[in-house]
Amino acid sequence: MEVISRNATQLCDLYEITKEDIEAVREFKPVAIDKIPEMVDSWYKWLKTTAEFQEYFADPLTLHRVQKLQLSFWEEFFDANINDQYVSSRKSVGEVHARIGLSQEIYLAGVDHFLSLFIEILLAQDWDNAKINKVRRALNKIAHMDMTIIVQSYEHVVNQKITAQSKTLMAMSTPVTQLWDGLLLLPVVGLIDSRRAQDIMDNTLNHISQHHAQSFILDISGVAVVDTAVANHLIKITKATKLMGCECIISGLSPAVAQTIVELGIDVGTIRTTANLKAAIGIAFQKLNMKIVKQ
Amino acid sequence: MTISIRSEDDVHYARHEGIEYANSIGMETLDSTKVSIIISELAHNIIKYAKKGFIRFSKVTNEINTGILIEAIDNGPAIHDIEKALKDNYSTGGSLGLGLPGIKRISDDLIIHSSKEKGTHIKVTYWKK
Ligand SMILES: Nc1ncnc2c1ncn2[C@@H]1O[C@H](COP(=O)(O)OP(=O)(O)OP(=O)(O)O)[C@@H](O)[C@H]1O
Ligand SMILES: [Mg+2]
Repeated sequence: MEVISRNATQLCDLYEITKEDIEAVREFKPVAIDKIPEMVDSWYKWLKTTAEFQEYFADPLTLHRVQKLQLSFWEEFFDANINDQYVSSRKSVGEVHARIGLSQEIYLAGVDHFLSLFIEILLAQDWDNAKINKVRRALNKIAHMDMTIIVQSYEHVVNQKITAQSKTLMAMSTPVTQLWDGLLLLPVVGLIDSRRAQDIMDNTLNHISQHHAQSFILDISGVAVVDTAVANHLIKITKATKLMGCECIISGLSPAVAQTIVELGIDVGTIRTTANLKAAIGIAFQKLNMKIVKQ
Repeated sequence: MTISIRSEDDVHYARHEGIEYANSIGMETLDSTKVSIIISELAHNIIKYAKKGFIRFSKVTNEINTGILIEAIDNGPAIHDIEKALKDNYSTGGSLGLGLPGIKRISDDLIIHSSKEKGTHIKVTYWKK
């Protein structure tokens, strides 16, 4: 998935963060910064009531490390040096949360916690309204920018995780096995996309050549949808196996799949198909001049 | 519900959501299989011919029945000749050429708007059987 990635200048433009905003936040820093350790404490007091606390922060060493990171996070926030390094430090927060599986909920609750405490402190200053409003706007803009960067990088890692998982599944998913001398079986479960179709093709042809197979059963009872793309792949696979002197039988066509194949108008031509694996094995054994008999 | 289509993974995701949606309005296996085929064909065409676009589905009702309206929207190069595109085995992409004619047979209604300026907007209605 494509992610639009903005650099620091573009992000400032997007959130209309001006020099005045940055100055306002910096001006607020001396007032707020001393209170942050206290805020961190009260945050973890709340966090202790959640299930997440036990999972992520129960270990005192970890807790100490994370609290220190939090202090420097807010220090950076009030320094407001919004450059690419600032952006990448925010990104890494999102990435870490995603990798460890800490939910966005907890993170967003945290932002809310700190932001409302900042506003509390701000309102207690005897500054004029104009100044208070200016600082408030500025805090909001930068906090929102932070959230966007963090949420996006979180999402990016989650997407990468999903891609990785599907790759792993894909790699495991073409277990061609030899049922008998000259007879191969490949049960396909799940989706057939072009990557997997290529995997199936490669794997099958290799096995046919290795085992001098004469019959190959492709069982698709675990495939819910046969659209034109899947049909096209199946046709190609059966054609290639035929070229290698091996007959291909496609088994496990469910009633819904059979009906939709007909409605789509797919010509299965000379491809042998059966409703279930048992029938396919029967045909294959016949071809090998063999018979299963009851003892 | 609108789903962005940019890769084969998105096609699978759209199909998955489509099946859930079909089930949620009371469709059973054969119906939801057909809905998922329609989505699959439309979404594959988007990737193949327009690179990216959207699949959208919504519920339609009349006095006696419930159905699903599936739309495919893209800003791609448009379908040259809609009449030909609806003929069996016509493909400019070297495949079976059965996607659109298949949808026509499977669905209850198929409307294609396609122009170089506005791209392609296909609307397919499928009623619960
Ligand atoms: N979204 C689109 N944008 C532009 N052209 C399209 C689009 N969808 C379909 N077409 C055109 O219509 C033709 C017919 O589409 P159809 O889905 O029936 O066949 P196909 O995609 O070529 O093959 P198959 O779907 O069987 O794999 C395509 O070859 C293409 O020229
Ligand atoms: Mg097509």
